[in-house]
Amino acid sequence: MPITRRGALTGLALLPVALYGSPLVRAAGPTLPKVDIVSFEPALTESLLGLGVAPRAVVNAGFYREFVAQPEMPDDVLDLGPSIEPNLEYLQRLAPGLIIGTSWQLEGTLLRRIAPLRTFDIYTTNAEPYRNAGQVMLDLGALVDRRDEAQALLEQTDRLLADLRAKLTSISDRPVYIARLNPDGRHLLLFGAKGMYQAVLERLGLRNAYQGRTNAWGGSPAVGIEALLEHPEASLLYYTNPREAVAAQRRLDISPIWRALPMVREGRAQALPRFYPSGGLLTAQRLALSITEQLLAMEADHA
Amino acid sequence: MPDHTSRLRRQPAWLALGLLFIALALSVHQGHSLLAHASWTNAFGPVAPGDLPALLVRYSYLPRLVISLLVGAALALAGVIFQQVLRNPIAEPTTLGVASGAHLALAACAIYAPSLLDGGQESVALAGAGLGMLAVLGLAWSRRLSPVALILSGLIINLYCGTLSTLLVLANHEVLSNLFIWQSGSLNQNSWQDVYHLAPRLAVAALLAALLARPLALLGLNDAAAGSLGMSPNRMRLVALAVAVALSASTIASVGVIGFLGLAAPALARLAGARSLRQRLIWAPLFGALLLLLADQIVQGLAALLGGEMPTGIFTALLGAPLLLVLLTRLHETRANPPTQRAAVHVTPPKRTAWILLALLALAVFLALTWGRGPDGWYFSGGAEFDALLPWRAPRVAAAFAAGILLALAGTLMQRMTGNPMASPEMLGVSSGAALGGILALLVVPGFNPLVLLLAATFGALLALLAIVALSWRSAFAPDRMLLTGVALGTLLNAFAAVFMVSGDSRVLLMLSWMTGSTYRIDASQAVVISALAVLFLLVTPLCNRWLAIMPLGAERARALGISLSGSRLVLLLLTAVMTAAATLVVGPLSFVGLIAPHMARLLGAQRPIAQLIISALLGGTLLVLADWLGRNLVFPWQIPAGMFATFVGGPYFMWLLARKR
Repeated sequence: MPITRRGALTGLALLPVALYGSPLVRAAGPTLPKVDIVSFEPALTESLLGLGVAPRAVVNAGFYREFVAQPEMPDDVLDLGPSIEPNLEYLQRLAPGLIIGTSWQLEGTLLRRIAPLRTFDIYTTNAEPYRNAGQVMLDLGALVDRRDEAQALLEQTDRLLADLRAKLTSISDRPVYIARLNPDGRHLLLFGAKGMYQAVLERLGLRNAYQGRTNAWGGSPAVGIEALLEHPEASLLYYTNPREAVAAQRRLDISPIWRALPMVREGRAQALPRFYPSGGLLTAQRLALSITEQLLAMEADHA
Repeated sequence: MPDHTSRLRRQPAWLALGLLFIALALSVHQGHSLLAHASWTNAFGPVAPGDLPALLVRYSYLPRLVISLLVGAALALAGVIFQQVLRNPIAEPTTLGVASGAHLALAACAIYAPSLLDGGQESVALAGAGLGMLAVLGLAWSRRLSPVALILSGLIINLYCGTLSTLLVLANHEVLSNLFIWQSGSLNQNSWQDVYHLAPRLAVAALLAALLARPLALLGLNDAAAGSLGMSPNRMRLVALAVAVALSASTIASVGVIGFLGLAAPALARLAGARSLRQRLIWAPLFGALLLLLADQIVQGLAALLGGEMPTGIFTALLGAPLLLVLLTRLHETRANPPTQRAAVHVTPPKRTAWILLALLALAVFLALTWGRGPDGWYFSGGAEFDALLPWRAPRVAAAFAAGILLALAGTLMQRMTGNPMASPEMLGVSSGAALGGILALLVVPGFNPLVLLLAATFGALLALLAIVALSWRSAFAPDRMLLTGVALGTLLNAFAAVFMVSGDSRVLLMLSWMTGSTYRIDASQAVVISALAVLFLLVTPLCNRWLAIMPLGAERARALGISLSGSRLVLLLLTAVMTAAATLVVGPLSFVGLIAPHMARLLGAQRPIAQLIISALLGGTLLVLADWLGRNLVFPWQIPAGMFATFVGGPYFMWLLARKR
């Protein structure tokens, strides 16, 4: 589904106002002051960068640059290797002042021999990632002595989501599916309970059409595209892995079921940019903006 | 009269009718839940765009029904051809390296040349499948493509391709999530395009098979008879194999890997009374079509109960693994006499070899503890820096060393016991059993608890051992039979690993890292335990000296010397299983050290059991210490798991071993 010109215009109009003062539009660069912290988790890296400081080293820097991307990470942040097996000897030589990560990354490990550890969890059993992400931002702000910035970011995000919610009231009765399409053109993954997409949808006053089983960060098992027929009245926002987008679209374009999906036929399906689905508060901002932008573009096309 | 009734009872048609009836009943039931009877006609006529139930029936339910028939028939036809040409009852796409070759090719393309896949997966899958098949044939060539050699070659190619694919997944998991689904074979459809794609291919293959039926039947007899056809038997075989590989690759590219149909359908046809090749060429595809239809309807029925759909390929693999075990017991042992151990290449006295190896080992340990790679390149650590790094390096070095010893000892026992230089603990399936236990624990128990994993893996290894004992008891632990149970257990392992991967579980990477044999998570206490086990078994295994000396001479000789074969084999089997389980927990289910070390020990002149045990233990330990050290440092700051690194070295060694002329 191509992004319509009108859709793009609506979105572009929305962006600068909403993001005024946000770290997302601030120019990044090597000028960012460093803190003596190593981050194991992209969501925490994102939040630190959002607060205007850069960690000394992160786990799997390539992953952050490709899948989280914003706020931009300075080039001189060191890479510790794979997220499941960061290079411990390297870490020991760096001798950082603090290692931060999620509980499952840090608890029960021998990392405490290298540096003090602190865990920050956004995706927990309380299934409120948005609220947790806000709290994590405040805690990180306290940690790097940027309390005011953290508080400001939190308030800004709350305000942004409230503003967007107001814009969406006219279409809030329509449930929304959020999906990642597989390139086979047959399967997709739906985002639901416990994940950031669902949390943002709720904040925006929208209802997630997918109410099924999800894993710890809100992803469903792979399902066939006909699963979207459970709520034929819903809108669909979807993304594909950029490298596989061509194959996926080619398969979908010739699928009678895809073309017959009410959301596709009636122009209620829109492509989303790809986001890191387990991100922090800034990811939530971008999700909210993107979702609103696409839903309003759809609405505008129908008007 | 009795002749007549038995002929009637053995008619494949009755069984086919029965299957058809059940499959149709389930299909109608399934379709009925989609659509009220009244609107069935709507689904076949012009469908209104808003008539969703009719659309679903027309473009999802019906094509899925037809594709399951087509895929089932295609795989069964490919199976019959493979089995006839290779004279091997368990030849089929998944046992011949065809499926794993296709998988590796697709994974590599998805990462390095995604644009190749934009036009569809078929050509890429075909290239990979063809290469996999060629590799298997090449490896088994020198053993005249004997059934056991072929299946072992298939196993090795599957392991090697699987390891390479896993390495790609570990480094690029975001990109390859689609492959998990593909690997587990899903028949879900949302258009008729796969049907349109596959149907003509199946028709052409069926036509070619019909033309080839007579020559192929003669090939089954002997080459001289086939020579009278005026075409070289080998060329005929090649054409037939090409047809089967192409058909498998097309199927695999459309719906993914559906294992075991190529085994099950021909076996069923034979059971139902289809004796001649011509009969099997007709009935096996029919049974294949019906079986897959039935399996897929059951999967869809189960989806309602389980709240999510299991990919059909996983379901057939789960059903197929036990079937494979049954078929294995029918595999003829082709060797007339047991292989004798070859004369040593070197004549160095074992004692001097042992000293040299000890020196090498010391050097390896020294390097592994003191040299590492940092952002500025290699560096040596001494003094305080050494003390600081030791807590990280020592457990990994010790664990790798101990695991190497255990695998080498287990391998020596196996090779002595079976008289087969190709035997290794990985092939026995005990390592697969251990890994299977670990995966099931991950599926059931939340979190990632090393202790739970350890218990589950030990339990899995013991269960695998019991299965091996139960299945090999009647054949008095005949060497080849035992080796091949490993194939079935390995397949089961892969099926469960696939269940885990498609479940979307966030711990999938942890599981992959564990399965590829990483020493990363070994702590000091685990290292102490595994080292203690290594020492214990170093002391225990030489006690089996007499058995180990006599067994390779062959069953008759051993009996003549008054050795109870079943009893001694049982003890050796138990030792092997415990050692393999312990080592698997450290370096994962595949490493090939258990294969290489004993073999190299013999090449170095260690002929007597105790000498072979000690020298192969030294070699095994050194190999894994080096593999771990290089794996930790070569791709800094990333790491290659020790087990996987050893596989890269061990795989080619094994292939060379297998391909060498006997």
